[in-house]
Amino acid sequence: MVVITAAAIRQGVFARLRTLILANLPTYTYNSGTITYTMVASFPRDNPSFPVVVLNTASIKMIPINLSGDTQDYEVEVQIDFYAKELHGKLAIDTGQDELCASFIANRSAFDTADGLLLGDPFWDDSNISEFTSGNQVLNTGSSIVRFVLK
Amino acid sequence: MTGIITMTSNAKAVSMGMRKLPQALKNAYFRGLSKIVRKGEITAKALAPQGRTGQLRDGIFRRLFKEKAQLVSFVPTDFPYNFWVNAEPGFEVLNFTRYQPFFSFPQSVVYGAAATSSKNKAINWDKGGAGRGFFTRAFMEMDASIEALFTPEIEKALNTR
Repeated sequence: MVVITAAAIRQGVFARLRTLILANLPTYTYNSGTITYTMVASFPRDNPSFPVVVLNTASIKMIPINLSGDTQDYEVEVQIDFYAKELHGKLAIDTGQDELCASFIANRSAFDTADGLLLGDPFWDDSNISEFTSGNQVLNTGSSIVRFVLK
Repeated sequence: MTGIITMTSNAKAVSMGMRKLPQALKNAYFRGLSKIVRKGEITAKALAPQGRTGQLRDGIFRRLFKEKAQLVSFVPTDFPYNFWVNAEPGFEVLNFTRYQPFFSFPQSVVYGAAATSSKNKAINWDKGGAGRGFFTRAFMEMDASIEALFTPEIEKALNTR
């Protein structure tokens, strides 16, 4: 694993989170069957199947920490969107957020030592769950924002 | 007899109040955000064209986090509704060069102008809606309401004891 650098921070963060999410795809039970999320980088427009978790690109805030500006703090914010069929209930979104949050927390020391990422404050921030229609499907969606600071 | 003037300080009460203030302000900000994004959702749904399926309206929803809110218009089709939603520059002419279910091809269609569908029916661009750029208009209404919706919440927080 490579420590993430400021020069490639967006790519590095995306690659790291993608690997982590793919290794820990959330699952939930519906009608006695186990349903597993898939991961995509944007909402699937053609023939989408649900549930999906969308990993968006990182948003970076660079803050100079001395007067000359030659040292900076990099704050990283990544929004993760969860989409599941409304039929499966809000539990599907809740489970997705719970499981990914737990996976992220479990990897906090790896973020620090291997990637050079410290947990931000607040580290994890959930949105409300909304219902909307996409094509002929009614979906529930919720989002979570995860924050880091580059060491 | 010696006169005694006793003065008491309310510093303790003030400091207790000040201690509660940051959280009270955060809560006030969250309530303000919640109100304004809800208003935006209602406004956008009211302005969006109903059309034949109502998909444009049904695809509008809000995301509310602790420190930010998003109003989302979700358009589940290849048809470039985003031009209509925000009236982005370049929306005027749509060039259809291959098969799609909306118009015959090849054909150029001026968005909002008189046009007929592939089944030769007149296009009602804004059935039940309030015209192009409805999302931008919803945003402008939200922007205009910020002071009215946030100020009472902030004042309430500043009165925290």
